[in-house]
Amino acid sequence: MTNTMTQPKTRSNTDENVVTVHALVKRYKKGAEALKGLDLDIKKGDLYGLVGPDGAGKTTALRILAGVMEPTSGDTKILGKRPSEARSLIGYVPQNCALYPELSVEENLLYQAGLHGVNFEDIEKLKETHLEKMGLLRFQDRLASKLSGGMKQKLALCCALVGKPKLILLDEPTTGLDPIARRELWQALSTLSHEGVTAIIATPFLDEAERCNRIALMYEGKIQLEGPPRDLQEALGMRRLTFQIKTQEKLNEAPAIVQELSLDSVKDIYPFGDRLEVLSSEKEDAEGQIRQQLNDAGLELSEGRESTPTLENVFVIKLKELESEKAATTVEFPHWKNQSSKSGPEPGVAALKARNLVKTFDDFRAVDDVSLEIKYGEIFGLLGANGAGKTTTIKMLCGLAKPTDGEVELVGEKTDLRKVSVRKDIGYMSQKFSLYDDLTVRENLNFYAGIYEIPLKLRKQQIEWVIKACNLQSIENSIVKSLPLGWKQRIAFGAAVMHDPKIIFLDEPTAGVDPLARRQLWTLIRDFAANGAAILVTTHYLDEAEFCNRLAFMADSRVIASGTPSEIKADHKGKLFEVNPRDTQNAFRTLSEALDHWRVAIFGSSLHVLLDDENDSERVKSILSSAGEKPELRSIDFTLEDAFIDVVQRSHRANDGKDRMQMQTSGDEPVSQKSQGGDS
Amino acid sequence: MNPIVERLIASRLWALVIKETREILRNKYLLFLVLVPPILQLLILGGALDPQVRNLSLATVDHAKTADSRELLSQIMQSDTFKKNQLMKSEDALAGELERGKKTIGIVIPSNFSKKLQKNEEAQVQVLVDGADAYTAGIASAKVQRTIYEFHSAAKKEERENKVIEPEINILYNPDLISSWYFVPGVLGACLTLTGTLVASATVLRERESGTMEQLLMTPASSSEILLAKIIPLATFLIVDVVVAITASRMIFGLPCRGSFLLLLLASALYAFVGIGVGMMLGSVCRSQRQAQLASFFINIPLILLSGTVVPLDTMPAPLQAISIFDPLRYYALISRGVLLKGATLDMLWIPLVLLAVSALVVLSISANRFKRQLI
Repeated sequence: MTNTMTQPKTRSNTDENVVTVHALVKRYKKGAEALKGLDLDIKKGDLYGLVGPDGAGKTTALRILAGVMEPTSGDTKILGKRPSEARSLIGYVPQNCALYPELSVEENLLYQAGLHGVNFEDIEKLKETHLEKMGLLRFQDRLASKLSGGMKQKLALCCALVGKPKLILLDEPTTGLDPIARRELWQALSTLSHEGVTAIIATPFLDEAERCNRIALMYEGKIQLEGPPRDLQEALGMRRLTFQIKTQEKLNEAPAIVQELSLDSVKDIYPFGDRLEVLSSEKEDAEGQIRQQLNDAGLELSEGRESTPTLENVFVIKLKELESEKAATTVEFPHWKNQSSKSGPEPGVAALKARNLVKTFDDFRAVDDVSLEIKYGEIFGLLGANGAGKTTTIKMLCGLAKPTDGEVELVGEKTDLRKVSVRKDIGYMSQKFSLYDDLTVRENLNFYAGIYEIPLKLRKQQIEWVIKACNLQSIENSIVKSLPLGWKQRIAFGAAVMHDPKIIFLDEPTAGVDPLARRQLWTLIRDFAANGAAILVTTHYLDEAEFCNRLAFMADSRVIASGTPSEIKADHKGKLFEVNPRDTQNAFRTLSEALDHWRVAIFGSSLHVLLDDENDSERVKSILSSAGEKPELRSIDFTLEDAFIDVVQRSHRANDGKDRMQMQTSGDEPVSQKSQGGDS
Repeated sequence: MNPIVERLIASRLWALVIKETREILRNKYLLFLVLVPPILQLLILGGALDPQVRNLSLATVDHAKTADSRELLSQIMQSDTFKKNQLMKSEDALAGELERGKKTIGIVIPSNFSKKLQKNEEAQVQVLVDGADAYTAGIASAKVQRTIYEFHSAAKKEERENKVIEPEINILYNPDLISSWYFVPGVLGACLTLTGTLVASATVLRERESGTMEQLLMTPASSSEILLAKIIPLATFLIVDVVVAITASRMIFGLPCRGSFLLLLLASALYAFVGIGVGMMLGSVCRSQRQAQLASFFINIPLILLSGTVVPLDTMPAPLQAISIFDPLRYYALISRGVLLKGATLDMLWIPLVLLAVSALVVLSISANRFKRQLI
């Protein structure tokens, strides 16, 4: 493949730079190279995204910039000084916030103020400016440990701002936050950057990176691409063609059908839950040919759409170049269990039925009246923020926790979900990695084959399947600890399904993994569903939810919406509009200050504005023109993220105007604490 | 293949045991914890914990300067309790030495010492003892007093022949009073406790911290299988520890094994189960490995101190002696000393052996119970 992208020009004029990094290398004692020569030029007021999967070197880079870690070699200058000398100019928020959980919001802030030598008289003013701005003033007496994830991040940001830094560094501030909290945080960051504070944000989410005005895509310790998101998307020189496919059963075959054409212009083909996405080069028009080919193969298409590529597309193309990805080989799974058994997977029959599930911890309802049904052959997505009750629900569904009320029927069993025969029919992949770090890949697989009592004669065949299907031939004797996250995830999946389960539970299977690895895992998941297994998956990534056949959104311990992705997107009273401003950041700021902040979000270079009815659009137009932008709005279809936010906000408003924050907080900590307590 | 062997290899327990063994062997920290500290501790404690008082420094003021006084001093110096006798000029100089802590004991022999002896009168000798270290002081002064007393009796021969009854002490089992013989069997038990609790809690908590426990609970493995699989390899390692430790003690301290080695291994296995059980219990109560390590000190130190392995039971106040009845280490120390030093046999040791088995059973069932309850 030829590189169609031009590397963005490096910006000269280093005088303006807040951060200048040259040839930064960090080698850890055990020989691992976290950074392999990093160059950065970050200017005043930049909202700079350091984007990449887990293990790309983001955290190491931020720690060196913060002056809390020494690089092995290379130059780092923060406003002309070495990071350790510039500490008073830097506010650093590490990954888990570094708050004191037993101190209140106010005490945490006062402590930081004390450290930075803020005058006693200034403290009141400080509280007002920072806590007020972040909407935390009302909660100033609450203990930090009792805050919701989003509030913790905002408090940590306040604490970092106390010393009036010129540069703030945030390490994955939005991991584990729900879309609304994420939007709020990004709005706060956007305001800060407008005030002239430079911010560097490390994030694994590519859709979030579009909210920065400049990004660096990191992968394996190096910057692969750098520049404003829009430039990177344009530099790709490709078009994104979306084919809505009505005959969903054949969706999995679609990529192969398109590949048969072997068009040079097609760089990437990928099926989503109800559509096929094709990246093709700008020059040639492949759309007609592809449409024809799909039609000939008996796939019914609705209208196709063309749009600019996303950052994920950019990254995937770059990763493919780097890894020269092997064509994903589908190896047929060797089913070894007797298929004619009574409750054998038949499409359309429910593998899991839950009716009116309730789980209370003390006086708190972690799960409130949840009912759902998952059929064999179906991928069911359970979505929701941390603390919405997802994990507790999954635990009840698979028998790890007893419901306070309601009933579960799992592969035909109602009374004892912990029966050995039931557990043999379940595949389970927990949120954390379920592999043993000190064992080799093969030893791990041997262990899981043994513990599921796969007959000795068949073990070899099942293990060989995992190794082939996951492309593990070269690493089967490596110790798991040393492998990249994406590999581990695929092995863990293989280990969880080797015993031919009828239902598979996947709790956040793709958190922190690069987009290419995510795709590979989803290909495996889809194959299993196609083979008749029922699949329950939880995820934070709303774009990933598109892969599911059906979805349920959870918020405040309840299921607030469910249906197919298309149904959920269609079921809205509100209207979604797209704005294409000249200055995205500025328009975003103006709009989100004028409207409820959750109504506005940056998607690439455009904004999505969620309005209750069409009439409000006039108001938006007048706001836009006063901000010096063209007053143009375009009505568009809902994305899942917009749908999620709309549904959650409506559910909150329906809750008798109860304060959302309050509910979320009370709903946040007890769940996570108790659910941990439940499994410890 | 033998069908029984095949069924064993195909079983879940086998898969679990293999996994646990591999994990311990791969994990340098755990492997170190299992192998090094028990043997190292045994050698250090066996060598260092010596209750006998030796090599004390002595200062004397000899006003008599006669053959008798010199004879007395040389007799005092004969044992290895004292290493050096410094002759001082005056009582003041002697007192100064004692005050500065340079000497442990001081002896003042009056000028009329020989005359009084010749007249068969009571010849008085002043003994000054630095009481800051009460234990040493007691032993040192007793030693000096005894020597002086014997010296007197030797001088008053006729009296000795009539009155003094010389006790003939016959020390059994450890005639040379080699302290390591006393300590090694007890310290062996203490090491089993420490290592057992630490490693057992670590294997449980590692699994919980890394998230594999949740995964394990979703497999068909039952909680007793999971626990058993953790106990089997660990108990094996601990038994190996015992064998190595006893062999090393034999070579270094000349520790004998007068009874049945198998009996000792049986008791060690039972006691290893107790240690592992305590560790499992910590593993199911604590949230992190660090918490378990800290908590293990609160359990292990009283367990060791109350067992009579380091401090003799008879010297403890009655209430503590009563509590020590519940200390399984007490019974293990009793058995291991009995087997190693006295050559005691099963019919003499069956009561402590049964008590040991009972405590192993109690601790293991408590931890199995706790482990099961955490599931749901």
